[in-house]
Amino acid sequence: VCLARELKALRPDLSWETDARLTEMDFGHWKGQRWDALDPAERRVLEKLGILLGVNDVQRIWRTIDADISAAARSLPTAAHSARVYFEVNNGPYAAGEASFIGETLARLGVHNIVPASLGSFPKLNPEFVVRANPDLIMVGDYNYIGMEQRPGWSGMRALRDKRVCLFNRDETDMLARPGPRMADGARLMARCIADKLSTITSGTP
Amino acid sequence: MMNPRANAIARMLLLLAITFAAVGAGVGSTGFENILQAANDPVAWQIVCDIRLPRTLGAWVAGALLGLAGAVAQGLFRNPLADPYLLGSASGASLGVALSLVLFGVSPFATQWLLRLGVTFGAFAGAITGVLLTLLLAKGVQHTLRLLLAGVIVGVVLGAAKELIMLARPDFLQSMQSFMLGSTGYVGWSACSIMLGTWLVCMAAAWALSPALDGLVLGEATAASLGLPLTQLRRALVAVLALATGTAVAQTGLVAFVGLAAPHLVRSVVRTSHSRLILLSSLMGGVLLMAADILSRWVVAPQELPVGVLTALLGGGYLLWLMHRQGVVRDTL
Repeated sequence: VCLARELKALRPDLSWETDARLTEMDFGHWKGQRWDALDPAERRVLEKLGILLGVNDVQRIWRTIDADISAAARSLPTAAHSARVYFEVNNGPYAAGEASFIGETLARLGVHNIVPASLGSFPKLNPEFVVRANPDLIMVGDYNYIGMEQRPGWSGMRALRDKRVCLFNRDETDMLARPGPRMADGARLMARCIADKLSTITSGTP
Repeated sequence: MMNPRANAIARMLLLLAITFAAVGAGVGSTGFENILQAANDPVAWQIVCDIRLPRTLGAWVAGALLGLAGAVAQGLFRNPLADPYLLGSASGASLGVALSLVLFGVSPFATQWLLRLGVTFGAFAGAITGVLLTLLLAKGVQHTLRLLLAGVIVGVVLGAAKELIMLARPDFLQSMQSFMLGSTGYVGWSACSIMLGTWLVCMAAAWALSPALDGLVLGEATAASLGLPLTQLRRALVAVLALATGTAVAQTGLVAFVGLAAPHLVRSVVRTSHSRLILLSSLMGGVLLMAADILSRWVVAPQELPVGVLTALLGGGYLLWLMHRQGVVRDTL
């Protein structure tokens, strides 16, 4: 109740929350203030937010981002579409699953994410799940990559053995980790790396 | 002469450990598998040899170190609530780990020998600092309440210092948080060997020092009148406690309640001297953490629960039940 009162005093134009308990609270009659539950792990969150805030041309902006992602996907060779990718968010290891916006972008690029949607957006995996899945390509922030080859049992994985690892610096990781206006830049970055690292597969080299 | 009941419990705990080791080798990201079938699949065999066996054995040794530390702490401070967490040694060890990782610029999950040894030394230094600060603040071990209060304060302050270090390094924050929730997922053979070596040293030292703990049960004055050099023995026991806690924390992060619950579980079934209590608590701690590790990877496979969260839930639940049961028994008398 205190939280509701404090929130009301701030008179927000829009309240965006991811906690279902908040929407269940009685906020009385908040004229002109809208509540919406948005999932930040969802790729289209940007479009929804634009609509809620009444941003002009939101559909056009979203279509541009969407078209850029499609263009990034088209830039990949067809053979890359059979590639199996593991995107590590954190060396817990937490992965970006198919249900996350990163997973959605990977799906748009046409590659196969080894972490199925049934495991949720960013699941904490048993490390042996990744070893067993034996991905063709690993995407990871450079800090989280430190020591990855020394993790028990990981050195034999195809992606690590053949150095097919996309390393992202802090700025790039920051861009990839947010479903914001730079999503298309993120998709291009991933597409470039996939094309580069998987060229050994597509050219027939093991 | 060996107490027959203690002997039987030791055998039973060893048998349980062997059984859990076999189960642990078979439980993975796909649930339970027959390890005999894995022999025909090179990837499955590599998973069993390089991931499941070291993490299962590692969980046992880490639990054994914590059980040993708990039994030593409870005997040394003559306090059944004493454990590595309540005396500031676990917080000190985690601060030592955080400092070492920032200094070396490595991931908490790094498996190279030298790095693991360096992190272990950092954790040991942190743990011993934590215990000494607690003793300094409590002005000795005579006042139970003061000792516990000092332990809690030192734990909070050292924990906050660790958080500050982590906040100063955001790139390092997430992996450190994952590690500190308690993790056995990346325990490899190097971490396992370091823990095993330390356990042997600590067990031998604790065994040799156990007459001092037996003497302390009779009170400090009586122990001194028996000719025990209490100051030196206490220092040595604090070193054993810090080494065991620091080594476990450096390899598996913070794993709560094992050090507290293991000696209690042993005492609930057998009354024995400290030499046997320490051994049995250590075996019990190993079995507890091994079981928690198996559960952590089985319950939501192929996902994994942080093992420290699971031990806190189960261990905390057990102690609450124990308190409730004792309350019920007291009320009925």
